[in-house]
Amino acid sequence: MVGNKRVSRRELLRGALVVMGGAALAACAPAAPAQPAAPAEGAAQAPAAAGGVIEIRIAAWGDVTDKQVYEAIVADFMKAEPGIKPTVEQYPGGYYEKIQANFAANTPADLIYFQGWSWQPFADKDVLAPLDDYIQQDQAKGFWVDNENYIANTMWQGKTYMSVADTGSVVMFYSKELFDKAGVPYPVDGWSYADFQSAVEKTTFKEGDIQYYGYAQAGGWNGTYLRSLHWMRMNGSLEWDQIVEPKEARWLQDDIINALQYTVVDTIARGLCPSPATIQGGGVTIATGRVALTMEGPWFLAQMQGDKPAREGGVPFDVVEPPLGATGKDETIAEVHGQVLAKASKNPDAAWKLMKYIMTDEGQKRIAEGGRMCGTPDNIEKYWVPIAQEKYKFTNGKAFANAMRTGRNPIFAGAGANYDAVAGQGTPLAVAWDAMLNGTSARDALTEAQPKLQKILDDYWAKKQ
Amino acid sequence: MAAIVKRRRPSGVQLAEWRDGWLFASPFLLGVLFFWVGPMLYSLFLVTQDWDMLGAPQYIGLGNIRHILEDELVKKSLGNTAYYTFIGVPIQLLIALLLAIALNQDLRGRSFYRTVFYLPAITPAVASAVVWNQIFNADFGVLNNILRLFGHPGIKWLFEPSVAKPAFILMSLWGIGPQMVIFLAGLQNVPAELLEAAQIDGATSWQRFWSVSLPILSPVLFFNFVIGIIGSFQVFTNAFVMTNGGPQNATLFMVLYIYLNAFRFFRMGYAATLAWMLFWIIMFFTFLQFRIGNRLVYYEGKV
Repeated sequence: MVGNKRVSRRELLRGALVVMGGAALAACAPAAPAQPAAPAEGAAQAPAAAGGVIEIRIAAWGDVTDKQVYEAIVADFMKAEPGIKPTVEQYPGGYYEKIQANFAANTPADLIYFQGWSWQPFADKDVLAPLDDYIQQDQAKGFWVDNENYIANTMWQGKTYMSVADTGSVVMFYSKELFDKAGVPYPVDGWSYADFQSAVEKTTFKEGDIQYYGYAQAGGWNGTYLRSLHWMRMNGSLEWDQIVEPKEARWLQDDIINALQYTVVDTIARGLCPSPATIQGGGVTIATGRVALTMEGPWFLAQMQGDKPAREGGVPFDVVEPPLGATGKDETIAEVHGQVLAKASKNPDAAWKLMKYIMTDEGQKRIAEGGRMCGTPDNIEKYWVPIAQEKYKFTNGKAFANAMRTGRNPIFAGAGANYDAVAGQGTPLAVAWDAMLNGTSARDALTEAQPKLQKILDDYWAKKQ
Repeated sequence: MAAIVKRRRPSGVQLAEWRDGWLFASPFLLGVLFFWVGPMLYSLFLVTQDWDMLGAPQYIGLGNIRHILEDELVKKSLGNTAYYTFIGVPIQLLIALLLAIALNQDLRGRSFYRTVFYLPAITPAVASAVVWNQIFNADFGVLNNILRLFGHPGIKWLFEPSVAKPAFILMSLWGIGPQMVIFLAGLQNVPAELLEAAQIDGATSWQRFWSVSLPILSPVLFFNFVIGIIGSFQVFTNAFVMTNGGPQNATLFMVLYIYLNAFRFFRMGYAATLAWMLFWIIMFFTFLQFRIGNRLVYYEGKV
């Protein structure tokens, strides 16, 4: 029986509010956790779109360079695989925040570019697909480098999640101009920490009103944990009990304290290094000819020479491996970047093909041409070094490749204690560095930070259990 | 006995008007529901959850609230925010009022000055932050150059923990244009005959301002104060762009800490709890201001 009762305004409003409120809540509710798409065998490949073309999405880092690199790679790839049509996506400004939001909405790209220390929380939460079956099936293990740092950057809990697409290592840049002015011979690979300290002192001088500095902790800013890795580790000390999922913070070691006391605190206090306040304006860097030595990565080359250097005409320079400590090797940052495969991908096989293609010689050539350092040390020397040396007018490009062979990254941990939670803004390490840069002794700053860092690790493990 | 008034059924015209009204209002209402009420309710739900945006939220009861009580950075960020708010807002209001009084005089080029003082308010926040970064530069910034004229060696504005917050307060004065305009409108509402009568009675300029203009201006002052406190509690962009909360967490304001927890530390439930805490803090201070304001603010038409 159908009643003919009129709906009152109040009832209508109430009904509309309930419907809209429900819809709003539904829209904001988290999507169901991504369902794993079993890689390789049994992978349920989504039906090809009209015309038999499989469409996939690849998220690239937000720089203009990366868009060009990946669009070139995709164009090449489509010639080899006409049945797959990848689309390059970029999320400039807050890349990881947007990746995270995409996962929350269960709409991640099929392949997602990550820095090697950032994807572990995602693997820990089971939203990434391991690649081991694909690697075995296609006998593709050769694309991965068998050293401790590469393994740590690409594997989690015994499974491989990230490809090796490009890298970034930090070496010592030196300004030939300032070394010449000070009459100091250029540093060479294998130089010692004492050589470094001597060079810093001698290349610090004043000419007229202009102060030149022997050393700056980085090109664009001063003092972070990442930038100090080499100094802290060059004599064999490690600030954690292990790099992956550490349980203990071990910052109060004399090697670490002494290294930071000189490179972060004393160099500024003695006027050998510009303070953060001096660097702030961007006028006092090695790229403007005011600093003799700086630890920087390949991304900084364009500031020194090339099409648009920071100083007109560029600064004559070269690079050298960082001065050696007791370990006898470069212990600085060796970043590995690559793609991960989202478990929610409907076309994991096609995505794997693209991922693999990026690691091939063709893909790596494109990476090098676009200005990024190739994935493996051998490819860096083979493809990237000749291009970079010619474009940026320096000679020791292999220092970058060697740094990738021996360097390491800071710390890896899973959800709830990702790198940012341990060393990012607001954390005890950020505070410790601020304090040292303001003149607090390394021992005092680290004594303050040590128990707080340990608490972060303890909380992480307590939650994990 | 109260008469029972029987409600008349609305006519067709009234119903059509009613329908049209709701239709016209619906874009706004839908926006509010979907983008404001919905997320707000969901964030309330998150207060009891541990959620990293990657898996399903996990119920943890009062865990997030307990964590707030143990978290040193909550105290630090609340302290920073309170400092910025309760020192910054009165200074902003004082200067905005002084400017409004000055620009209420019969000056040559008055409109030009009014525009100039208002302009920063329409500058994008990030652009302002970049400009102020240069103004605060220790080596070649304008402020230090001025200080050096007086023999002062200069200040590391954004790098000394003890100076960073005052520097942010100084920077906030850049955006007082809207408050100044509101004061100006209030000043122009002060009846000229009252001021004239006071003058005839022998009142000095200060007495005329204190006893005539200020009471009439008090609702405007109150409005600016309430809005200023609410806005200052939500300070974010400058710290995010210029200092990242440093040095030594001296500019780690509450909203920045909420952002870090949500998008850097993967703690969405905790961030939602902090956001609700901030909401109630703002509500408390707003309520307090209304309680005090009721006694201090003069409303002309009020008996």
